[in-house]
Formats: sequence, C-alpha cells, structure tokens
Amino acid sequence: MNASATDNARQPSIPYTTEITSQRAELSEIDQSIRSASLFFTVSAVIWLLLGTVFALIAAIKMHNPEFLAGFEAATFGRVRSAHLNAVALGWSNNVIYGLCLWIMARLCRSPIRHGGLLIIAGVFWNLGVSLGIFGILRGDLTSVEWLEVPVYATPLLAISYILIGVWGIIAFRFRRGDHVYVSQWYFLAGLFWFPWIYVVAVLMILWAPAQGVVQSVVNWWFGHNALGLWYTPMALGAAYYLIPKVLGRPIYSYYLSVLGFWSLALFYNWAGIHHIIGGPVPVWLVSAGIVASVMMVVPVVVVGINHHLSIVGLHKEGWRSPTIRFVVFGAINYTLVSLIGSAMSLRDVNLITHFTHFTVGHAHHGVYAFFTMIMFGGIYYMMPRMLHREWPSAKLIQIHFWASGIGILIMVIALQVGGWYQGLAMNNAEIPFLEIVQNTLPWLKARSVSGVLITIGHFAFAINFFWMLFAAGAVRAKSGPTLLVSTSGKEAAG
Amino acid sequence: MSVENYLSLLPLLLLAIFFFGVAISMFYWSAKKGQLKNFDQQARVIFTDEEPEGEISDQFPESKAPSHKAN
Amino acid sequence: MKNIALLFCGILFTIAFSYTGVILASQLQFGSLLQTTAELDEDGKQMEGDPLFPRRESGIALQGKQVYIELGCIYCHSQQIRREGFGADIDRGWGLRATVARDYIMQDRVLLGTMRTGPDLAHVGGRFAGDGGREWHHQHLYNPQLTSKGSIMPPYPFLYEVREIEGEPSPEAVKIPADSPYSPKTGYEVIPTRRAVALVEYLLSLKVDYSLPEAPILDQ
Repeated sequence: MNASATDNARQPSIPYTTEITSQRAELSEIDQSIRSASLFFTVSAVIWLLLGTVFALIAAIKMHNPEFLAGFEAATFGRVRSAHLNAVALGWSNNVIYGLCLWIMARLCRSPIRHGGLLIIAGVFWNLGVSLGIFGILRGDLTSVEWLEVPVYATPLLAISYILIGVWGIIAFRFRRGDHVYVSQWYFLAGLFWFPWIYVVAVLMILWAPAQGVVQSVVNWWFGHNALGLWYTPMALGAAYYLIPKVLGRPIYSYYLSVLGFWSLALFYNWAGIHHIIGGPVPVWLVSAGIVASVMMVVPVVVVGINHHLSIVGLHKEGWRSPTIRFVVFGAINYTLVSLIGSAMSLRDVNLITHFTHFTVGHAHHGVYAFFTMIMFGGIYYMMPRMLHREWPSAKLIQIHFWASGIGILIMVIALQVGGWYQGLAMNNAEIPFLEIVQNTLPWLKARSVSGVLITIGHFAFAINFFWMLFAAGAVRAKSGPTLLVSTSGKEAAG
Repeated sequence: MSVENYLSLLPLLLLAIFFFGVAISMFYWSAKKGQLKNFDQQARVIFTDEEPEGEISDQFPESKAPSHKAN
Repeated sequence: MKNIALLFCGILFTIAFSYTGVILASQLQFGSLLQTTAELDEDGKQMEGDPLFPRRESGIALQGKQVYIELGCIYCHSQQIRREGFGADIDRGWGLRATVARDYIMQDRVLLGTMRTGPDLAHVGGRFAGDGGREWHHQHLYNPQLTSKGSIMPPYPFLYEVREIEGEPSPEAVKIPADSPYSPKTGYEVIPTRRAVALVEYLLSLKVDYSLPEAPILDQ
C-alpha cells in the first residue's frame, strides 16, 4: 500500500495541462484568490489544535493524579483546563472555520474573492488575541466565566478581527454570481451574523458592565450554549451540506428538508441554553422555555439527519474510500446522536442525574469533537489538495488519524457518560459519602486519559501529514490526484 | 412572596406577538414570491461544468480504483 | 431561496427573538432586585430596623474571591443549592435552604458553576466556621490529602511558603501532624501567603444562613 503510494507520488508528471487548466479555470481562480488567507487560518488552526491537545492531556491526567505538576501555579487544573477550552474553541475551531468555511463560501459565491488581505489582517489579529488570551489565562487573569475565560484585555483584539471577517463576508456576498443562495451559505451567513451578536452581548453584560446577580448566569449560558448552537453547529452543518453532495457527486437528498432544518434550528437552538441552570436560582418559566426549546431541537436534528444520511445511501463503498466522507459521515452520525442525547439531558428527570457530573463534560466533547471537529477534518482533507494542487503524502497517516481520533473520542464519550451517570445517581443519594463518589469516578477518568492519548496520536498523525504536504512540495505532486477534483479515470468513466 | 414581577414582562409579550406577526407575513410573502419553489434545481447549484454531478471527487491517495460514476 | 434580504431578516429575527425572550426578559424581571429584610410586614414592606440581606462582601473576602477566580475553582465547585426534593443538596448538608436570585445580587461576578467534581460551596462558611474552619481550610488547600484522604483536588503549595523556623514557631503556621507524609522537614514550617489567607476568609464568608421573604429557612 505504501509502495503504491510512493510510486504514484514519484511518477514524473505534468500536473496541469492546458486542457485541464481551462476546465478548472473558474474554481481554480476562486481557490487561488482565497488561498493565502485560507492557508494562514488552517495552519494556525492546526498549531492551536496541537497546543490544545497538550493542555487537554495535562488536565485529564491531573483529574486522577492531583499531584501531577501541582507545584506550578500556571498548570493548576482550573487554568490548564481553561487554556485547553480556549485553545481548541477560539484557536482551533474558529481558525478552521475561517479557513474552511470561508473557502466554501467563496466557491458558492462563484466569484474570486476581493480583499483577501483583509482576511489576513483579521487572521493576525485573531491569533494575537487568542495567544494573548491563553497567556493571560495561564498567568492567572482568567475570568472564571465558562466559555469566556479570555481576560478582558484580549477581547478587543478578537472583536476587531471578527468585525473585519464580517465585513469581508458582506463584500463576498455583494459580489456573488448566480442568484441562488445554497443551503450552506444560509448556515454560514447566519453563523457569521449570530456569533458576534452573542459574543458582544455576553462580554458586555458579564465582563464590561456586569448585569446584576444571576442575570449574568443566564447571559453566560445563553452565550455558552449558543457558541455551540449558533456558531460551531451551523458552520459544521453548512460544511457537511457542501461536502457530502460534492464528494459523492449527487445532490442532497431533499432540499425541502434542508430549508425546514435550517429554520427550525434558527428558531429553537438559541433558546436552549438555559437548560444548563435547571434547578438553579432563576425563574422556573425561563428554565421551562429552555427545556421546551431543547426538546424541539429534535425537529432540526432528525430533519438534518435524514437529509445527510439518505444522501449517502447506495454510495457507502465510494464514501468509505474518501477520507473526506469518512470524517464527515462520522461527524454527521454523531450530530444526530449528540443532539438527541442533549435533548434528553434537558428533561428535568434526566438532568437531575446528569447535571454537575462528568456526563456533561462527555456531552460537550461529543458535540465539539465527534461532530464539529470531525467534519472540519473532513473538510481540510478535501480543501488542501485543491488549494495546493498537491496530493496528501500519506494515506497511512490519514487512516491512523481517522481510527485514533474516532475510537479515542468514542471511548471518551462512553467513559465520561457512563461514569457521570453513576456519579450523578450517587450524588443524589445523601447516604453515600462524597469521597466515595469521587473514588468511584477514578476508573472512568483514567479511561478518559487513555482516550486522550489516542486522540493525541491521531492529531500528530494529522499534523505530520499536513505539514509534510505543505512543505515537501515536489515529492507529492500528483498527476491525477485521487483526492483532487480532476480525475482522468473519472472522465473516462463519465465518457 | 414571589419576587418575580410578571407585569414587567408585558411589553415583551406584546413585542413577541408583533414578532410573530412579522414572521408569519414574511413566510406568506416568501411563499407567494416563489422562494420556496424549484427545490430540485436549487440543490444542484453546487455542481458546475468543471465539477459535474455524478462524479466522485475524493479518494484515499493510494487508491488505484478509478473514481466511480455515481448513480 | 434566493432573496438575500429575506434570509437576513429571518436570521436577525430568530436571534432577536431569543435575545428578547431570554436576556431582556431576565433583565427586566430580576435584573434589579434590592436587599431586603428576612421577613416583611403584612403590607409587604420591609421590617424597620432589621438587618438587610444578602450581606455585602467584606474587603478581604473580595480579595479572596479574586484568588478563587484566578485559580479557576469554579470548574469543580458550584455555588448554588437546589431545592429540597430536587437533588440531595440539602440532605447532604450543603445548605439550609435553596438559593434564589436575590442571594447573588451583591456579587460583581456570579460563580454559580455547573460542575461538582467537588462539593457545592454556596454555604461552605456555615459548614466550616471559626478558627476550626480556618485551620481545616489551610490544611486542605496546602494538601487536600491531609483532611480528605483520596480527594482528587489538586494541592496548592504555591499559596504557602515553607520556611525555616526562626526562634519561636509562627502562630500562623499551618498545623500539620508531624507523622504526616506531607509535613515539612523538621525545623521548617508552612506559612500561608496573603493570597491563601484571603482565599480562606472568602470561603469562610460563603454563608446562606439568613432567610429571605421568598426563601425562608424552615425548621431551625
């Protein structure tokens, strides 16, 4: 297998004949126009991913080995854990969204982008902001507001960057060609608009001019849950709506359902966040509204699930051969699962057990990793060859990445949710001493660390492949690259 | 006994009713203008001459198998 | 759909809807509560001369709260007590009554928390009080194994200074049994830094030991 890969790669070839070039003209031109910006974001994303993974491993080990690195204040659990969250949320996730989703958006607007420099400036600001934020967290300036740990002094950098990207998005739309707006674009446009809104409101009402008392907590969870629901989710769904039909060469199963799915998500998701304070010191009507919205989320989830899964039916074999589809389908399946579990968790009787336990931590990783991140990986596997006109150097590393990450995250979710469930049951029984409950979570926490090691292996495999592809230009140029769009054999089949 | 003053929520309730009205009329308008028609064709806008429908466009790098024609 | 204005209106509408319903409504309904007396007279007025609750946080406790925030204690400890019958918060002795919105109005940063890797701390000052409580907290922060064998809370050695005893042992030194594996070398003592002192004062100040009209403490 390896041998054939190298054979393929070493073949002397003229990668782009005039004929192919003209065939690819329009898309190439678009890809070219956004190339520097997209690469900048993607490279930053991968670096943050590695950093975030290291923070995660340290935090995971500290959970069952409290003496580990205990002497270093910067490495205390509360800080490392927050550094992990912000490195993967702001560093990895946002960068990869800017890198991948803006590229898809440019392609869907069918017009080479203008002012790519604006994006680079935004990217520099963003990464400066995140670096300053993570540094501040480790230094002890964290805010202890969940999902908003970045110290106040780093927020203007992030805000400036975000405004630049928003402006760019509007420009891209202004100059789009073709009059239809595809479903992915609805999601991207909505996400680009929603995220700054919730971010600014949260930063204002919690950090800059704090609201009174538990109004802060309401804002906190409106933001925290919406960061997932109105930012990461629409971006990943938008990407999946583009990648699945595109790779398989078959339009989405039902476009009608995609309209329904989009609007029901827009309507229900942004009310759901309050389920994080069920039983807390806030009015019951507010919590009930949150629960109703969370349960209503079943509608968009089932609709999107049907749409994505039925789009693949009959093409499983072809899908399995595509790294992109493997990752994206893994993500899509987990979107269905994690959302249904999430709706169930918002029911008062279930929440009574899962609230305050590792179950929720497992759920968060299920959503952000098994769903969002896996789809983004799939997107990168699709985008990079087209962007660089090069083939991925090693199929083996892609395999390692897929299996290590996939199995790793499943072990993590199962361990934390099973362990968390028992923890919750025990906590509700006042007869059981607290320390005994803590002791009983240890095996599950250790299993989580094992899963973390697996995921780390996956990430390093991915990063090696990624940078190899980026820097080892000559060696991996492909003639009719299989992950490349143009495939001579495909043409034959079509002819 | 209750601290929560529900009267203060009245303006918001009116606002919600107003929102609801706007949403319904927007939906009505879009249905009338044909925004919700022709779905089959709309789903195909991602395919172009360069990237036609019916062609698998991604495989593992080492894969020798020719890319199959879908459908 | 091709009408970009329509799409944009919908996107705006949905977020404005939830912003109004969740954020504005909260702000209007319980965003400006006042301190009050434990009981009200029959007209619903405050009892004149009675103390007002919740209490204002003291200066040193506020400094301690800053340490609590800097160390990220919130990621394992919540500060909210749920009502009797919904979870075992009260049965576990974590509090005397459920906390309500008014309990948090004096706090600039609300640290409700959503994780209980460790126990709830809303009323920890009622559970560990006075000099005994102070001593317990210092031992526990220096190394949790001293007070809670098997705990997975991290030790905070950087909040303490291990120094050579000069002359008389300091009265502030953390009392660690000599036979403990965590005791300092002979001739050395463990002195809390300013931050440790402030943090412990903050923990001692966390008390929901007062009634509010909407949340009385029953059967005292």
